[in-house]
Order: sequence, then C-alpha cells, then structure tokens
Amino acid sequence: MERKIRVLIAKPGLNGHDRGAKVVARALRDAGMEVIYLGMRLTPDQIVNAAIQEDVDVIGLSVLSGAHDTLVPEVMRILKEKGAEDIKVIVGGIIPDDDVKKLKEIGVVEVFGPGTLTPQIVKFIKEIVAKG
Amino acid sequence: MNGIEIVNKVLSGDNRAIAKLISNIENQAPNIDEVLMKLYPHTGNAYVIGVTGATGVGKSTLINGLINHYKSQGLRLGVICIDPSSPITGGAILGDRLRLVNSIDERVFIRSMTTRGYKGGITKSLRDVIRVLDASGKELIIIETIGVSQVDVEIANYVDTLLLVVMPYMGDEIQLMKAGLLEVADIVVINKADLTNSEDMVLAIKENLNSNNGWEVPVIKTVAINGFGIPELINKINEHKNYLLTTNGIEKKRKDRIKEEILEEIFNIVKQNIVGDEKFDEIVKKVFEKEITPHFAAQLLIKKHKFLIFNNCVDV
Repeated sequence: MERKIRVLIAKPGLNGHDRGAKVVARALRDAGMEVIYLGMRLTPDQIVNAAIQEDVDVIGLSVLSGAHDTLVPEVMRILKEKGAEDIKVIVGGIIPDDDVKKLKEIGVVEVFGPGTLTPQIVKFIKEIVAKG
Repeated sequence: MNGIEIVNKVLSGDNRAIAKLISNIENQAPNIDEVLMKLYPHTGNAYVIGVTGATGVGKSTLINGLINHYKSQGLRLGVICIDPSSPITGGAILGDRLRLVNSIDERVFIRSMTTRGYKGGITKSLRDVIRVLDASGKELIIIETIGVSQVDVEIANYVDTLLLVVMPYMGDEIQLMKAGLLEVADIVVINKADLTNSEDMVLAIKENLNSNNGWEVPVIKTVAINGFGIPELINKINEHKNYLLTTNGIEKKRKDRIKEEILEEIFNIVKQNIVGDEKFDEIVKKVFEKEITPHFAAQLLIKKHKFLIFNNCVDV
C-alpha cells in the first residue's frame, strides 16, 4: 500500500502575493507529494472545509499581510470545532518572532520565514507525517 | 475508525468519514474490499455526469456554473476533479478546486484526485470513489477528467451523461473528422464562445457528429466565466437523462459498465497472482531469446499459477 502525502496550500485573507505559495507548492510536488493548491483570498472556513474533504496531512498557510494573528487562530479554532485538529498546520510568510511563539502556542507546528530553503520544508513535512 | 463505523458514518453523509474512506481506497488499505462490500448495496442512486476535454478549455469553470445551478435547486452534490500526477516523481499539483472554491461549502463534497499513473484521463480508484459519494447520499456526481487527448474515451464507461468541452480555434474540420472523443460524447459544449469563430465551430462539429444510440447529440455554446449558455446546457443534460430513463438506456449503460469492470478485475486478479513468480525472469529470457512468444509465455504462467489464483479468491 503506497501512501501519498497530501498537502493543502492556501492563502487566507486579503493578500495577493502568491509567488511564495506557488514556489512551495512546486517544491512539494517535485518531492512526490499531492498538493491541492487552493489559491488566495480565502476564508478560514473555506480552507478547513477543503482540508477535511481532501483529507490532507498538512495545511500550509501563506500570509504576508500581517493578519496572521487573526486568520491563523481562526483556522486552528475551526479545525478543532470540526474534530480535525490532527491535520498539521504550518505557516509561511512574514511573521515577526514574537508572533511565531504565539502561533506555536496555539498549535501551529512550524513557521517558515524568509530565507527558508524548500528542501527544509520538504524534509519537515515528511518527518511530521511519518511521526503521525 | 473500523470498517462498520466508517461505513455508517459515510452513509450518514459525514464529510470527514467520506474523505478518509476515499484515501483508504486510493492507498488500498488492507480492509478496503470488505468495507466496499458493505457499502455496495447503498449505491446506484446518484446520477453521474462526466466533463472532459483538452487542457484549458474551461472544464473547471463550466463545472463551477453547474454547481451553482444544482446547488440552488437544493441537490446534494459530489464532485471529483482529476489532475495528472508526475510520471517522474508521482507528485502533483491539484488546481481544479481553486476555480470552484467560491461556490462550495460543506454541502458540496469535492475531492481532487491524481491519476497516480493511470491512463485515459481518469484514475484507477474512480469507480469506488464514485460509489462512496453515491452511498453517502449525493444525488448528482460530476467528474472532471484531466485535460485529455483525442483517444481518452475511458470516461464514457464511468458516467451517465458525458459532456465534451471544446473551444474555438482548436483546429479545422479535418481535426473534428478524426475518430475518438467526439464519438462518445452525449453533449458537446463549445466554451469561450465569445471568441470570434465559434459559429464555424458549431457547424463543423454538427457535421461530424453521429447520433449516439438514437440520441441526437446537441452542440451548446457557453461562456462559462459569465454564465452564458449554462441554463441551456442544464436543459440538455435533463433531456439526455430523461432520454436514458425512458429508453431504458441507463440500465444498458450501467450493465455494460459492470461487465467492463468485472473483466478488468479478472485481469487484475490474475496479474497480481502471477507478477511475483520466481521464474518470471527466466521466462522473460526465453521470450527475449525467441524460444517462445509473449502470448505463449502468458498462457504458461496462467497455467502454472491456476491453483494460486483459485486459492486466493475469496468464497462468495
């Protein structure tokens, strides 16, 4: 039985800078993963609904707007409400150090900032999925 | 979740359970055959529409229009979008859901699937995934193939009504005379019909259509991005459905489909039991050295493994 890693890549909120999300999506694809690319200007509800229906292992949220401290907690809250808190959430974008701590406190497994190399993200996702 | 638990949850329409079961099918989880057996009596109620056509003609956007319409009628919907997986890494970008995201909510179940190396524009688990959505109470299921080529006609064996989506500037009349997809379509949709030569396209297609088992294949112009032509398309889908129901065509289609699936299963079962043969390389060598033909080698292997094949089949 071959188990494919499935990842949802999405940009919550009003933020049009999707190059980073696309680069990460391509890197994960090239690492053999199935990447559901959901695009931008999404509500936390849309993201969680897609993550559940697509049965992904990981949600990757890209935020560069500064609204991470409202949007990411909302995603985490809805995941919990739907009984899907086992889906791992990682965040990428421009996140101040203080906020990284806060995001990790509410259950975000990792935050990848500027300068991250895509192989680091690939390796990280493979590890957390293997751990279950 | 164990087998019975997951079946009960799927039957009650639980999205998480539906999603998990689809993954189990794709990953060929160990108890999957039993689970599907329990689900099977609850299938056969959904109507299945296929949407196929080349890359970039607007299949996803057209489906978006269909979803909005059927949702407003209160229908329970399931959508399966297939995208290609990489022949090199097995990875994939699934980008169809993106075009549907604003028209969907929890009531519309959409699943993106990759081909996982399967040919024909579809994916190996498609039949079972349709059954899961069907058993979960979806009344209408829409399937989007990958961007296909002229001979990817397999989807016709999976659906009740097949839409072939084309667009202007896809080639002249000679292209349309070639055998393939046009022969199996139930409705032809010319999307992006606001482009200049769409009327020429209508004429060229009409000239090259055959009647499909007595059904006069209609050609509809749409501009999916702004909804033009969608009501007419919906009418034609309904007409085709009524045609199948009144002529008993639906029963024939579905029985043909079952026959096709059983034959495929026979092939798979035989193959699975033979592929691990310890003398396989020796036999390949014999064929390579022209001692026997591949045809003879296949018969040799089937004969050799007849008991293995027999013993590995469950008692039904």
